[in-house]
Amino acid sequence: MDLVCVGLNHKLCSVEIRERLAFSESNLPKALSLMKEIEGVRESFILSTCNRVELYGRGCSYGEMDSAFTRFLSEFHSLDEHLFSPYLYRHWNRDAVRHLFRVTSGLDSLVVGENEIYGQVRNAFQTANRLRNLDSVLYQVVERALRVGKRVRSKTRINERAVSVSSIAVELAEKIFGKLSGEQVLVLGTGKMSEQTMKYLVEHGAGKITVASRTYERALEVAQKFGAQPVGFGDWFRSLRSSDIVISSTASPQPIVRFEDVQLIMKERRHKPLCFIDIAVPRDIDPRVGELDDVYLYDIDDLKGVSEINLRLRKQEVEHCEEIIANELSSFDEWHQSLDATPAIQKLTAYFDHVVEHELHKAKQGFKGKEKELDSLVRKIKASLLHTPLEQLKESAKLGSIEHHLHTLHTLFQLGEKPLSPEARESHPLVEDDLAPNDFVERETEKNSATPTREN
Amino acid sequence: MHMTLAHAWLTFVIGLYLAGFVIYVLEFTNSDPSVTSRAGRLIEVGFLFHTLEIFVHTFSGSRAPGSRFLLPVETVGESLSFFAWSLAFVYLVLVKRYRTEGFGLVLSPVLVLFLIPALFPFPERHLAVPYLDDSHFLLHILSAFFAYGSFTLSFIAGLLYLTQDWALKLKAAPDVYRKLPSLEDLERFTFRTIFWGLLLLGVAIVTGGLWTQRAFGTFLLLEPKSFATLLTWCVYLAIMYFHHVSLVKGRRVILMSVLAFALVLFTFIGTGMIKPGLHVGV
Repeated sequence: MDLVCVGLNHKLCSVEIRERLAFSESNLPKALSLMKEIEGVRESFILSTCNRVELYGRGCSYGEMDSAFTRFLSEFHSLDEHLFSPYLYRHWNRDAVRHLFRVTSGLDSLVVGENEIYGQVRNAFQTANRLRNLDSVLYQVVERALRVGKRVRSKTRINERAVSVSSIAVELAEKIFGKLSGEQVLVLGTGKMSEQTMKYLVEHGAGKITVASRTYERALEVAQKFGAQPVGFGDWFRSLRSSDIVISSTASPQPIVRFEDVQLIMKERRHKPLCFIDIAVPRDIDPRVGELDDVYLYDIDDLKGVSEINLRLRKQEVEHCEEIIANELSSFDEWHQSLDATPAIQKLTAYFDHVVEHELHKAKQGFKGKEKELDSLVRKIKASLLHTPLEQLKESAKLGSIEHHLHTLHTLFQLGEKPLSPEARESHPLVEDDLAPNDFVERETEKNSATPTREN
Repeated sequence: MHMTLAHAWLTFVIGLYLAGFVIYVLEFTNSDPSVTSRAGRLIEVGFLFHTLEIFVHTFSGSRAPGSRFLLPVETVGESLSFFAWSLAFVYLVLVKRYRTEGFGLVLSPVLVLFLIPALFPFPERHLAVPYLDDSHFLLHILSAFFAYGSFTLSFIAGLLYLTQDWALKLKAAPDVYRKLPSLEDLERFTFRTIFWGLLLLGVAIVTGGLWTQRAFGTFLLLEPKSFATLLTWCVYLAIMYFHHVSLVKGRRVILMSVLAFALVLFTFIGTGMIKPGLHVGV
C-alpha cells in the first residue's frame, strides 16, 4: 500500500495560484467522484482551504498517484501544470500521515495554532466519507488526525492566545470590562477590520453597538449585518458620550477624537473606564488620550505588538505539540502493523475452517442424530487451537516483529506468497502484505470479508 | 494542646500555604494550567487545619481561668495567627465566588507572613477582666477580625486593580493582564469586601460597646484603638458612598481604598504601640 499527499500551501505558493486551484464547497463532491475514477487509487481525500490545497490518496504506487494527482489538478481547474507544479510538495507514507497530523493541529498554518483548520479538515473528512472515497487506511489516517488536532489543542496552549488584531482588541476590552454584555460600543468607519472586530464583539456578547460612517447608507448596511444602530457621521460625538468601547478605522487624514473632548467626557463619566481601539492609519484618535486616567487606547501598532508576543508564546508550545504528534504517529504505526497481520489471520482461520468442515462432513455419518453436539464440540476445539497462536500473532504485530511469524505461517500452511523481508519492509513502512491466496483460501476469505474494521 | 504539638501543627499549616503559593507562582509563570485548582485546594486544606488549631486553642481549659473558652488573641503571635485565619475565612467563605489565581498568588504569602511570628514566643498577658466568654465579647472579636480580613482583601484587590491598570496601559504585558481578573471584576470585588468590612466592623463596634458596658459600665473605652476604629469605619463608609453615587470611579476610587488600608494597619497594629490598653496583642 502506498499513501501519498500532493499539495501546495501559503508558504511557497502565491494566493493567485492557490485561489485558482482551490476546490469550492460546491465542486468538491464532483472532484472527489473524479478522484475515485483514477486508476490505482483505492482511497482519496481533498483538503482545500484558502491557505492550502492538498490531495491525499492510497493506492498501488506513489509514483503513479503523484503524476495522476498533478494531472488531475491541472485538468479539473483547466490550469497549465507548469504554472503550479514548481510549488507542489509531496509526502509519502509515514511522512504524509505526519503532515496531515501537523496540518490538523494548526502547526503548518499561517497563524500557528489557529482553530479554523480543524473544522476544515473535519468537513473535508465528512464529505469524502459520505461520498465513499475513504475506506480503511486513509479513513484511519484522517480520523486520527482529527483526534490529534483535538488533543493538541486541549493538552497544550497552542491556541490559547489571541493573535489577530480583532481578537486582541476584544480580549483587551474584556480585560477592562469583564463580560461585554452591558457595554455600549461605538464603531467609527466601516472598513473590513471594523467589521471583523464588530463580528468578534457580537460573538462575545457586546451590548448595544452604534455604527457611524461617512454616509448613512453605508452605516445602515453594516449595522444591519450585526443588529447595530446606524448613525450619520455628524452624530457620532453624541454617541461617544455614552460609549464604553470605541473602535475607529476611518480614512480621516487627521485625528477625529481630540484629547480635550475625551478629557471632558471622562469628567462627565466620573472616570468610568473608556476603551479606544484605533485601527486606522493615519490614526483617528489623538495619542495623548491614552495618558488620561481610566482611558485605555490601543492603536494598530500596539495590537500588532501584542500579537507578536502571543505568536512567539504559541511557537514555544510547538515542541510540546510535536511530542503529542510523535506519540500518535507511533500509535498509528502500531495499528497499521496489526493490520498487516489481518490477512494472514483470516487465511489461517479459513484454512482451519476448511479442514474442520471436511473432516466433520466425513464424521457426521457416524454421529447421526447428534449433529448439533458434534458441531459445537468442533467449534470449541477449533477456537481453543487457534486462540493462543492468533493472540501471539497480534501481539507480535504490535511489537513490530510480525515478519518472522508470517514467514513461518505461510511456509507451514502454504497460505500464499511469502511476505516481504524485514529489510524490504523498512524501506516501505506502510506496505501492506499482498498475499496471493491459493484457491480454497480465496473462496473462504471472500466469505469472511477481509476489510479491516474502522475505529469509532 | 501541648506547645510543641501546637508549633508543629502551625508549621504544617504554613507549609501548606507555602506550597499553595509555590504552585500559584508556577501557574503564573506559565506552567501546567491544571495546577491552579491544586493550589486552591492546598489553601483550603491549610485553612481546615488552621481552624482545628484555633478551635483546640480556644477551648484549651488552662488558658482562661473562670471562662469556658477564650479566643486565642491574648498575645501578638496569637492575634496574628487568628488574623491569618480570619483572612482565609473571608476569602474562602464570604467571597469565594471571586477567587482567582491572582488573589491566591498575593494572599498565600500574606497568610504565611502573618503565621510565621506565631511560631515565636511573645510575652503572655492574661486578661484580668470579667465576662471573657460573653457572647458579645466573642462576637466583637470575631467580627473585628473578619472586618480586618475583609479590608485586607479589598486592599489586595485594589493592588491587583492598579497592577492590571498598569499592564493594560503598558500594552506590552499580555502575560500579566491575561492572568489577572478584569478591572470591572476587581473593582466589584474591592467594594464587595469593603461592604463586608464595614458591616462586620459595625457589628464589632456595637458588640464591643455592649460588652464594655457590661464589664466596665461604659460604652466607649478611652483607648486609641476605639477612636482609630471609628475613624476607619467612617473613612471606608465615605469611600463606599463616593463609589455608590458614582462621585468617583475607576482608578481614583481604587487608589483611595488602597490608601485607606493604612488606617486599618494603624488600627490593628499601630494603636497597640502608642498606648497598650485593654485591646491587647496587636
